[in-house]
Amino acid sequence: MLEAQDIHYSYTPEQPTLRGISLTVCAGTVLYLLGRNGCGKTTLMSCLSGILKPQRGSIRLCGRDLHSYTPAERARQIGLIPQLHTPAFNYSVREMVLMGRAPHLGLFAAPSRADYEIAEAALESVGLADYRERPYTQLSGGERQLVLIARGLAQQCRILLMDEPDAHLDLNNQQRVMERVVRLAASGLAFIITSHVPNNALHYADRVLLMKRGAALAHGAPADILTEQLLSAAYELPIDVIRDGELPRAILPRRTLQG
Amino acid sequence: MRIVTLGKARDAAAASDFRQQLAYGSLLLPLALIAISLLLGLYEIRVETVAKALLSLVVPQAAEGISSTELTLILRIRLPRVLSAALIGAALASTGAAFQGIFKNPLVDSNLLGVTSGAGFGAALALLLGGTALMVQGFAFGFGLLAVMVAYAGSRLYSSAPLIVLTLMGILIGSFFTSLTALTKYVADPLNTLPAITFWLLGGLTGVTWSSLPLLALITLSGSAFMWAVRWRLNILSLGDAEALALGMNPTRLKLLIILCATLMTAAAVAVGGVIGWIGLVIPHAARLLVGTDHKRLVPMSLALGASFLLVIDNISRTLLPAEVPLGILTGLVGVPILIVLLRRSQTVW
Amino acid sequence: MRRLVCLLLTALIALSVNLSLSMAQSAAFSIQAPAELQPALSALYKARYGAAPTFVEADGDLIATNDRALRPSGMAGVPPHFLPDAFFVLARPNAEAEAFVAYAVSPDGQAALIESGFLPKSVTVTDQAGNKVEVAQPVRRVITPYSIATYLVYGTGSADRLVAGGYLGARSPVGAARMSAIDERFPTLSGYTLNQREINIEQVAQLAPDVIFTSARTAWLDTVRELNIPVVLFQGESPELLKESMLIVGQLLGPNALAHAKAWGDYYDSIFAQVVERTRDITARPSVLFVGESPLRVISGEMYQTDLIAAAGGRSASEGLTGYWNDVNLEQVALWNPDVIVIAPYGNVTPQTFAESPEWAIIKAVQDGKVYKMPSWVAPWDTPVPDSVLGVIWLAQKLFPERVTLDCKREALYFFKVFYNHALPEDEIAAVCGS
Repeated sequence: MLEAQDIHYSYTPEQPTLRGISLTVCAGTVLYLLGRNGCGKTTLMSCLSGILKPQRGSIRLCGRDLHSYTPAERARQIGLIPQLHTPAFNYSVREMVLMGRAPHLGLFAAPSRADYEIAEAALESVGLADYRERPYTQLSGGERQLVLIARGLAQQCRILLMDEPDAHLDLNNQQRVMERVVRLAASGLAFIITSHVPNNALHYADRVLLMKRGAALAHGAPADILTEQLLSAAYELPIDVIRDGELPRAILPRRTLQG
Repeated sequence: MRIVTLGKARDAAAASDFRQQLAYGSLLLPLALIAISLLLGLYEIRVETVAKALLSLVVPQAAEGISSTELTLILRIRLPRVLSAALIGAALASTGAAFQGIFKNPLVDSNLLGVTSGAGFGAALALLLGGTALMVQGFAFGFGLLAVMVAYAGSRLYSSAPLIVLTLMGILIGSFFTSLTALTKYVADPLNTLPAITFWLLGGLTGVTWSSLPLLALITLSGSAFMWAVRWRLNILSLGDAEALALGMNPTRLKLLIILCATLMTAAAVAVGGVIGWIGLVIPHAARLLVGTDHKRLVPMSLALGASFLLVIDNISRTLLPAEVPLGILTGLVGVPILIVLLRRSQTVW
Repeated sequence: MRRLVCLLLTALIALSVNLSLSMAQSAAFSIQAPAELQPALSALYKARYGAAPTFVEADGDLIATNDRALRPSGMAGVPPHFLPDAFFVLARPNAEAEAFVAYAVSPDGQAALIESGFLPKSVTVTDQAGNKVEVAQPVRRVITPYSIATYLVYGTGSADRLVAGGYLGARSPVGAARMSAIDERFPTLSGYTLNQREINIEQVAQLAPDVIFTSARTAWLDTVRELNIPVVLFQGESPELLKESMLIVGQLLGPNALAHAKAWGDYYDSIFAQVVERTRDITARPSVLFVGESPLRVISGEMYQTDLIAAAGGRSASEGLTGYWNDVNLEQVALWNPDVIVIAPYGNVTPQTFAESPEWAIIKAVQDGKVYKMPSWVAPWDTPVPDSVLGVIWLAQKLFPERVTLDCKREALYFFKVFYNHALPEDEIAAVCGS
């Protein structure tokens, strides 16, 4: 569905941020992007969502070049869920989700009853139907993340890009959010997720792309990619993988401090 | 499960429907207040006379038996003044709400980019040069637009963090024009020019006649129509450029259009009524208390509340004392306590 | 021996002829004065010529007297005073006598009289802010940052003592030209940074004034007091206070100034009395609305113009308002429905502005065509300057054309001749008054 070929991007001419990344995402897949800070994960997300245009290489959505779509057409296919932040104004959960209808409405149109029903259905899909009138800023981190996912569902797009959804979430909320993601993926949605929690990739990813300094170090199934050798190379840190027989169960950085 | 949920949805929809109805229904308030305001004034005129005078606009014979003084006062003095008050109040409040949305800052009004400061200087300059009332209005309008254009042009020099740079440029340009205004006051003849400038800067609708109305009405009504049309999009703009882009919008272009629209509306309002503060800041907050932050309801509510508020203030201004009380003084005296009360009650409106 | 005696005799004769000749020279004019004035005159004469004057009993070239009956009237104006009640009258044209008179009223003459004890060394006045101020005499250098005080100095005929001042109404080219015609020193005198808001202290120190005339609302009083220059404060917002201002100036600038100040007060009173006399039987005073920079900006009851209107026999429509200029709306004007509208001399508003506006057609003054713009020569006639007496005359003439025989042009010619020592161009003042 979404194909990236040999993407190159630099913010400044001297320092390339992305140096030839290629990847493919199909429907129903959860793809994790892992790597150190500054390895280019967020830049890659921006390129994939169409915000930035790569200086070299191509991105194709359903066979067509990504930038041949109008912004609204693109938004009907790809949704972006940014990192959690507090908005300046206190919209209700329903109003937040409703904003996902924007790519489907004309510039001068306001949402109709049909749009309200789609938003309602999206809220149900993430299990937050009872929260519809609550102020968004009064929700916990995990609930807010779910609301943003619902917004993406209301957008009726087929690919959702999530920038560090597990940041600032406790273990409970992380599981809540990620299990919902997996369930939605099962119904056909594709997810591309950046994360600093390799353990989540272990539990929830269908495919993993490990990045190092703007290039793809490895790309494949979690079991193949999340090995000691590759992880240590990517994070430049000794990392142990705890296994239960053949099955990797946990990823642990080794403590270098004595005592 | 689905039916129950839909039922709950309907309840919630009903609650929000009420706020929706409140927002749209509030537009009747300024109309009612316009009618009431026509009955108020220092010169006592009976209700029937006012009604007949208004009727005579359509049916000329209805004016029989009304003295020409009363007819002139109703149709040529009160009516244009009351309509101007409503238009100016609506313009200032709705542009304030729009700016709060696109700049993601609940503490600004449409003077953020310096339009009011520029217009104030334009008027002061015209008064210093001994200009006619028309020249004063023209200069005010022109310099208001100039201030924003300079602020915008300046912000284009920096492409990173454009919103912050634009805000900063606006504040700088606004301060610059405020200083220029202080300079004109300093060199003005203290016997008569200086009081003229001071009076103008305090805001007032004293000499408003029909001649001021056509341009004001055209700009305010078409500007408000545009604001109305894009009101839901303001929600998305208020989330920030990144999210707006991700939702398929062109935030830069829309913000530019809104800024242009708001600037024209504010410049026209200030050109006719002088510097009337607090409406752009306070009214959107009052509106949010009543109908929430969704701009779909906030914009109509701001239009209605803004128009109503200024109508009430202007009525006080022209009937309280034999001499006019400047509008800027009254909006501050009345508006600031209201804002304080709102801040205490609002908790997390923002 | 005989030759020596002859030489001595010739020398003696020559000397006595010389002496009598020189005595004849110094006695170029004779002075006719009562006994009580002769010592002062001798002191003046001695200071000027170094000799004693020639007094005669009758038919003197120069008459000095304190008999008010001998005061000339009409355009001759106020006779030159050398003591508070003593003045000169020139019996016949005599250049030397005129020079002597000019000397007598100048600061030098005043100094001579002070030295011989006929005038006080210093004068203490209570200014209009209630301060007691002592000013050493004679005052040779005055500065007037308060532009209204400048005209007080001109009005007492003491403009020669002015070294710097502000000039109200002289900013425009017309006003500046007229003021230059009155006083050729005007461009220099008005060229200093001198007004109520700010003052260049160094300039003031350089100008070395003997006294500063300013208003109670001046911003820099403390700074200037550091220089130990006496500061006199004025605040003449009514005719009574204006008369008092003139008298204060007169007391400080010598007997001639005082005489002019009193004469002005008398002139004002006589005008006032004439208006009262002519309008005695009118019970309903015409209501006058006085507007300023814009048609809806009107005076309050506390402003000078209110008294001016009353002195002219009218009543200010907006006397109920307080403060300074007020904005009103047309409904309030309709309630007042004034009989006459007077526009201030400054600003852009003209009777045309009212005639062209359909909204103003409901007001009686506009319907009757009684909208007038008050004229001015230099200082605006509606401000508390001596010229404002002409404002009263003009307005009285407009309000009661059939009853009041005062004529603006005639009185303006008189006023400027007597108090400014300036002959107004007749056709120009006729045009100005005609409005």
